Amino acid sequence: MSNDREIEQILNWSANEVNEKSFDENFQIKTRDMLQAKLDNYYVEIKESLLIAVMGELGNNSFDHNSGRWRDVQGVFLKTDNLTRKIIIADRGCGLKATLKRVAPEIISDMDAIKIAFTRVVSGRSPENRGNGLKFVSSVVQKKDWQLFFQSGKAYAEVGINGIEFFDSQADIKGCIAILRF
Amino acid sequence: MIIELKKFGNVLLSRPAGRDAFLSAKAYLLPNTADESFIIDFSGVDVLSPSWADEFISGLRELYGNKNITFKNTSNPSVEETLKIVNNEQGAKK
Repeated sequence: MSNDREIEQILNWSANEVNEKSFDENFQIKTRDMLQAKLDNYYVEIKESLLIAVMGELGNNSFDHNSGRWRDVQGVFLKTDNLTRKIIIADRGCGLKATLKRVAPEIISDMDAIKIAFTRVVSGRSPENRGNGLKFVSSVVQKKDWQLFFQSGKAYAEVGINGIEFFDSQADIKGCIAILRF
Repeated sequence: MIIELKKFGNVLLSRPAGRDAFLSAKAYLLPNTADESFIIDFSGVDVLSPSWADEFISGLRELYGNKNITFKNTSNPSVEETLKIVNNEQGAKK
């Protein structure tokens, strides 16, 4: 999955400084209201309730944990491709490690953070009861035999019908990137 | 009493929207007595996410208790999967 050229482009977009050439505003969702409108319309188009629920969890996570502290570009990059049945959601926020370390100080590495995010009910927004989003996403992806690539920092997860696997990456993603094949 | 979730929208996704729906229900729909029983009717809901449901259903459970709430018309796949997650979380909190 990680050899895909579009994935390389989005990794570069997230890892590097933003400039006019690297940034396509057509795919930028700046506010939560824009995300809701986009997903309302996409449901009408695709009629797949679980897909919209997964996209909602991934996209809203970015707003939940980065509002007021975006590194530069506010909101999420969201691109849907019905021909190749692929969805990309990315943000230039603070990433899993910085978010979760506040409530789980035992987190040392990006790998620690991504494993906890996908397997434990823990949220960066303590004392609010949150932290189920990525578990839900993982469960649906496995059940539907979809594929998910999710990277934050220098660690990524691949989720598929056989479960979750975690890997180290050369690229350092400051925010989060999710690529879903459905 | 029956709470028809479709009256809050058909694509129910974010935590702020779920929280707002709960606060609106609390202000205008819900009774003052804690022993009231509820049926949450999901008919007409096309998409439900755990974030929205957690804010709304957890709010109801805090006010009225778990045993007073039942669900109806839950066959939508996103409703089914979301209720599994939300109900598991409630079990873990006990």
